[in-house]
Amino acid sequence: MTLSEKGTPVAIRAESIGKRYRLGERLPYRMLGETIGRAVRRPFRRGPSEPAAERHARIWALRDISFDISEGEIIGIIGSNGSGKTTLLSILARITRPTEGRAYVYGRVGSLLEVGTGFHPELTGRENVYLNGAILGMTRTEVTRKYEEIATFAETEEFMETPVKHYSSGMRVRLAFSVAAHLEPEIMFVDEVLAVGDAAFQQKCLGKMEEVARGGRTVVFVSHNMGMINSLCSRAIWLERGSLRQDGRPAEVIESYLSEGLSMDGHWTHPQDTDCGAQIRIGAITIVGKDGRAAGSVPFEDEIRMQLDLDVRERINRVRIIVRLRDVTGNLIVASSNLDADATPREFDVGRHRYTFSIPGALLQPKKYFVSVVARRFADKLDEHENCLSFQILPMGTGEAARRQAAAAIAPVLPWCLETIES
Amino acid sequence: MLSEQTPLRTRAYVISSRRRLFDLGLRELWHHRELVYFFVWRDIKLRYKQTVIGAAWAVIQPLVLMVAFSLVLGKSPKLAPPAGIPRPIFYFSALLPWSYFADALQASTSSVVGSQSMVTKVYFPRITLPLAGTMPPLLEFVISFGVLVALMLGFHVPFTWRLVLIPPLVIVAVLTAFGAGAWLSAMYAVYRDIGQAIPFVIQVLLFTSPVVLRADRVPQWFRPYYGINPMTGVIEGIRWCVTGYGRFPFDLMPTGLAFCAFLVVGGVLFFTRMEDLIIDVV
Repeated sequence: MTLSEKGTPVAIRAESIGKRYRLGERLPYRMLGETIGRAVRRPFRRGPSEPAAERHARIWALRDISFDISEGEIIGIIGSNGSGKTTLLSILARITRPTEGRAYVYGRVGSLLEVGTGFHPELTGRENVYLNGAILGMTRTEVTRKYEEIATFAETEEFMETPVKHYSSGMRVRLAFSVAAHLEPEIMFVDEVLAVGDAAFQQKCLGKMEEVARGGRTVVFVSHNMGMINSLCSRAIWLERGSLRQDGRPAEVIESYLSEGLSMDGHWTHPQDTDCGAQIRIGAITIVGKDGRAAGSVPFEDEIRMQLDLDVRERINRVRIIVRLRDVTGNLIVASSNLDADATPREFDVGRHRYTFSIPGALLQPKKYFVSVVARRFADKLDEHENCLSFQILPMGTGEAARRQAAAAIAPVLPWCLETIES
Repeated sequence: MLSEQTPLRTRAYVISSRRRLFDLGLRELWHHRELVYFFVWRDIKLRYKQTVIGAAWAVIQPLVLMVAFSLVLGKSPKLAPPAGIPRPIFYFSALLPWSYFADALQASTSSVVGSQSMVTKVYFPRITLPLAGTMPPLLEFVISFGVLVALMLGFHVPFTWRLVLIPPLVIVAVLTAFGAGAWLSAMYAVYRDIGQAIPFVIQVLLFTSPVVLRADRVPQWFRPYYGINPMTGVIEGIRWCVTGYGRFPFDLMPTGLAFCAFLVVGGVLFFTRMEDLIIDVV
């Protein structure tokens, strides 16, 4: 049996995995004529057989990824879009081959890279359960044995004889997850699929994944939901542009991931290169300290003053600005909008405008917070910046109060009144 | 550090950049044999869902072609069936294997492209796709065969021991469709031209096959070459089984069987070689 450094049995071992795509290869298929044409022209071309541009038009989607995953671990893979998370999962799930390196996977694998792979809308729920089960690697007897459980878990018992095309998207997702969850794999790969479905079902899915891991089986999953990664995983792996940036305890990895590239000095300005061209954009956000200057940290008792600058290019009205504060694990702590207290339809003239508001002091936990901001006009998203700014609330000393606060979501200092009503 | 090629747990696999040349994954295929069954079952279910006359479609196409050929070709001095054989029987007995082959080849060729969303999202031996594509038309073959039996009764064509040779001939047709389908489905995934070419190729093959041509008038020296398309021997063979006219096409079979073996072995090798490229391109 393969053992890791810690002496636990290894479920997955990756050794310098790399995956290279030729640029354009992910783009559509080719036409035969082009290939023949190229082959015919080639002998008559002087110099190198391929033009330089063609030779260099290759990108490494993943490079030199190595890790050991022990049995029973729940691994969360995080990283921005295009960092190679899904490619890594498809290599481990044997969907595509690496260009270099090796991986060893010990155990029966269930992969859920997309909900309802192979679901056919014309077939009934029951028929799709059997088909999907077979695609995921279950035998017919296994599906039959688990059938009731699958239908019950998905909460679609009454509709199993109805074609799936009449299902709501929520029902479809529930049924698909249910089939995959009952596969009883020793190793489970899950891509960002839990983002769909309602909150209650998401909770149920998380429970199922925990149960899988408690049974000594291994789960590897990709998510953008940091809260989920933090609460569910025993370890997190951060991929950035195809390389492994950090591998360790979820809270630490998430924090460094979220802190990457965001300003810590309490001030953020709109990057020039990502201009969205809308009528309005968010020009800058500043946390203003007591001295009136930008501050990356605020003492616990002080109020948090925020300044938000808007650049208006065309006269526009009814713009809603929403500012969100999240903690390190992705929990939404504060959400505030310019229309919360003032519902009068304001008209913005061309120019720069500044909103100022404050979050009361002695309220938020002394922790690190990440600011996201979005500008909307009805359903249109005009400008959006996720986790663009972070700031720290400094703890108010030590002692009993600080310990009590650490566990709660917010830490308001409340005046307690005492009076004697009977004696 | 890495001596554990043979781990203790139930199923283990090694992922590396290349598969060995003759690693065809036959064990994997055996593990997933039920998947072939489910693909076939799904295709049959879907084919007749929401159709009014359902399985009758299976016989309409060969029946219409039979009538057309009987009326048109049957009058031509060069192509007319030999005297004494009812024209409907002569054509229908040949159209039966032909329709099967045309449908199976078509389904098998488009199987990989048609499942691209599945192929890129979950692992399973992809050779199951072209393999499963050759099966559903067998059902139509069986249904049409019932019609042939009715025609034979109607035209007083005797039933003889020769009919037992039909199943082995059908197996040759299945293998041919699978072999060609393995080649073409992999090529189709990379080159979409194949999709345009297939209906045309099938048509050309029909008009050069013994369905239309009189194979017994092909010059002796050319017959082994004519037989390279394995369906030539299959069609002539089945026609002989039904009508008893002439003799069994022993001279057509060797080249046909050899080419069929080449299609299957080469097709599986080619498909497994191409598999990894397919996934990144499809």
